Amino acid sequence: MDHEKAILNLKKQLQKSFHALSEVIQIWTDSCDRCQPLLSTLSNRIDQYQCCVEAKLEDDPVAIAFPDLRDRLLCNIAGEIEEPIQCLGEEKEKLQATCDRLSKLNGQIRKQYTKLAPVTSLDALSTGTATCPPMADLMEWLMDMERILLQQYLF
Amino acid sequence: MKYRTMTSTCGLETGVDLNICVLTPSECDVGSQKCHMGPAILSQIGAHLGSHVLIKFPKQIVICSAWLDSELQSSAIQLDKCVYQDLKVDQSENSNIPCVQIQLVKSYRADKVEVTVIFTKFSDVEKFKSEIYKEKLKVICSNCLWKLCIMSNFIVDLENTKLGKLYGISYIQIGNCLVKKPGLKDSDTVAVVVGDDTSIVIEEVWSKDRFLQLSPNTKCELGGLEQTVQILTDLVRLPLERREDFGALGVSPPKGVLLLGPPGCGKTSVVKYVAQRCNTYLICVNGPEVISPHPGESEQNLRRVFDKAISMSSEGPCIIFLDEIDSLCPRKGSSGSQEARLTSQLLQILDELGGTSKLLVIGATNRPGDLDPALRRPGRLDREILVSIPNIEQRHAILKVYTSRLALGDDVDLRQLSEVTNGYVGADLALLVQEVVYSSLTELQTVSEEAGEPRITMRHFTSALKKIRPSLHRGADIKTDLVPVHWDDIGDLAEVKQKLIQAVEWPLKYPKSFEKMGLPPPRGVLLYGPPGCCKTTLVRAVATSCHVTFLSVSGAQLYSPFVGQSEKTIIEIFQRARACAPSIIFFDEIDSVVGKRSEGGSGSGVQQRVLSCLLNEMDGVGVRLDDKTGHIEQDGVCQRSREGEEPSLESDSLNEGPSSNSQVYVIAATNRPEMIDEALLRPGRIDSIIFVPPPNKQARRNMLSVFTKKIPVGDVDFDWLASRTKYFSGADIENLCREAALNAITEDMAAVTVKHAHFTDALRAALNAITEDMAAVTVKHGHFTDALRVLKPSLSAELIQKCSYIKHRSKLDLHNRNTSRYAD
Repeated sequence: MDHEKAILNLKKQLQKSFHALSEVIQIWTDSCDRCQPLLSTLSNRIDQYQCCVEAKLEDDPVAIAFPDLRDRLLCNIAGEIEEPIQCLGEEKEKLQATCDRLSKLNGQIRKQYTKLAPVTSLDALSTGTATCPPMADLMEWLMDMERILLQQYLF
Repeated sequence: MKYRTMTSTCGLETGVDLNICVLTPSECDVGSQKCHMGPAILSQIGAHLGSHVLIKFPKQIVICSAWLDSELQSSAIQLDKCVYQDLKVDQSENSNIPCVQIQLVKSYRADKVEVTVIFTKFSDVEKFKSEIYKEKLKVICSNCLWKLCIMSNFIVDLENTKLGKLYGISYIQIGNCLVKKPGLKDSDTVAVVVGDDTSIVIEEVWSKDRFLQLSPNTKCELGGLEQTVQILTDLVRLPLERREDFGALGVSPPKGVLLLGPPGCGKTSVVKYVAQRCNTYLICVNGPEVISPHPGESEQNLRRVFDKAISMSSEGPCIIFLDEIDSLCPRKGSSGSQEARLTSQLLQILDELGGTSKLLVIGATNRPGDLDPALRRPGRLDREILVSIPNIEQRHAILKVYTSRLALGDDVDLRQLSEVTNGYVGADLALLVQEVVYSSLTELQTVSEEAGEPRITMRHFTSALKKIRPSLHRGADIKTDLVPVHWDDIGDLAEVKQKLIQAVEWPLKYPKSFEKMGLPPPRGVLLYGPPGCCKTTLVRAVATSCHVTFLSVSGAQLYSPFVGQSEKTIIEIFQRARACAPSIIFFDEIDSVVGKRSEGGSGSGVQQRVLSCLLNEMDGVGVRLDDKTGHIEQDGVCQRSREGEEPSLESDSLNEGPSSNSQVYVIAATNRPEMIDEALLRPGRIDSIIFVPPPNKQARRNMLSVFTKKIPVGDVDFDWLASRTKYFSGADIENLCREAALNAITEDMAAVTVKHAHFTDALRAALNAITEDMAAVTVKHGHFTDALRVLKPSLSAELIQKCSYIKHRSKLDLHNRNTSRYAD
């Protein structure tokens, strides 16, 4: 009786994690969407910065009039670069948090499963229905997801 | 980095042996360390989902996490081999049927992991070696290894994973793994999982090239070149280990080595072997790879190779190996402008190498004469090592290495094989063994399912020996093949045989005794005597019994329409003989090859030049430096070890082997000894002169019985015939027997036996046809047939007298004076 209950618990926990996973993915895609304009801004400003560094201002009449023109420009652009970088950092932290959350959930499931494993038959884990895939697959997918998210995050 | 084998393993349960096939993982699973297996296997090994298993293949161990795939049958697993360990394959175990062993393994959370990072690009190696990037590298490694289950000395393959490509890391080699857990000793090897709190220690940073080259799977073996290996190893190691000493003494370590020697002697193999033994990175440069048709590009290629070598040497010891260096650096002037530019480029690069003590340049060539001399001066390729044709001990060692993997029969005697393979280089021996294996395999196909294990027997070797000739003998105009004749096959001539054995066989077989008595080994032997008295057969017997290289020279091969070609051929023959020493050079009909100077054709002078060339080669002052062979010392060693002592290293100095003719014997045969130049016959050149007499009565008697073996003889009185056949040579007696048999057929087509009368008829005919002064001896008798008139003895008293006149030196001089007087 206890055993069946435990299995049911595991199933519920898995369900919960997949719900969490869908949230995580939602957060992930949202934050990726938010990052897109930030990244284009950033790349634009970095281009400006690069051009400013490489520009030949020596013969330019404006530059002769304002000798510290290049430094001032660079300082300005650098200031503007700071802003999107800060935003990106915040987004990154959010993503990190989602990763951690998923990892935590996964850890809980593994713990539960390890307790159950000696008494659970493989058949019970490998059979699934149309609405509920086999638990073995679910657990494997969760593991995969954890790994893939980390790789995505590092990328 | 050392490859340690597992000592004791904790947390392992007994494995399950399975005969299963292994499938490659799906693309998304690469780098996930997952192993999918069917429920049957999973329950058989007692694993749960996600538990770690050790999968042992014959050549590899892989760590995986087990997952369920209900579609997989019990005969297959799908496996990602991203964490693995290559095993050193023991040859003896290789014959087992490959089966897979799966073991459940308990894993712990790792506290500390030592790693060696292998980067794909060399630029990354340089970057991450600096202290600044150390912390960053630790984070990178931690990310790469995150949640992977690893063990000491395993390798994590990141080449096809996303992270590996992102960071440019190919492999991570795991060193020691520390787990703080009660009941676990530090020395135990356990499986650990890397988590967030695992601290990573970077041991070394390597480049992929070096790592792959030094992996234990590519071990090669080498036999018989221990001295050369020792010298090269010292050259690589000493500058690294004794850098301070070199600095204090103000001596720069040797920069370059030139390996000389005939092709197939193992120059390339020895370099590869040394590179592996010293954990040295080896860059091989082949001439054609560098040379390009566009001007300037060859130099650029060469420069690029050396740049790579220099950057590699900053990482660790490095050898750059220029194989066939004669194509890269030919003698200036003899070649086109492009080669000259390439040569000067190479010289310049060698000069620039000055300070890099970890880089050793090794060149190899089999034509040292074609190299630019500037390359061989000290400071460039200053050490020269001769890798010459293996002697008997070396051949034994080489054969041992090559046959170590074969199932040899009990009758295979490698010592005897190495004795009969004089002149064979390493490559020839390899081919020989290959041929043996091949023939025994073909035999297996034809002979179906015989009882007992198939083994290679001596018979295979002897038949292969007939097919495989030493590669050094190929491509030359010199006859080397001969029909083996044993001493016992020559019935008579005991005295001559004894003299020959004394002159040729003894110095070869017992050089120590000769040395003890202060005797210089004899150089040459002249066999003279009337024609048809088995001079050539005697030489064949000498060659067969000595197992030495046998080169036969005749006038036809020697003379050519081009000026200087004949002399060159003579030099070539002697070079070859010296290279394959000990060897015998046989000049048949030497009077036609080199005549007497005073009597020789005054017009052409070719014979005179050939003669002077021959005299020079036989004992001229010195030999070309490039023909040096180290055989004298080596043979000394071989002799000692035959007597049961250890060969000592000191006496076998490869570099100082004197060039000498002392292992080259010249045997000449002639039936016109008066035509031979006296200079050739003086002691020191041809010092034993042996007369091969015509057969005496007893010998003729023996010959008659030998030649009539196949003829059905009736009541023939051989003794009478022998007494009547004076002046008959061996060939004549054979002819006599033939004629007698013919007589028998002429009389009666249905004749069953040859009777004595037939012989007497034939003899009569023979004696009838001789010259007038000899006619007195003949007994006019009965019926002469026209057909028998052609028969006559080929020898005569005059001829024998003429042939044997140098029995005494004084007689010879007298005769010479006489003949020259007649000539005037």
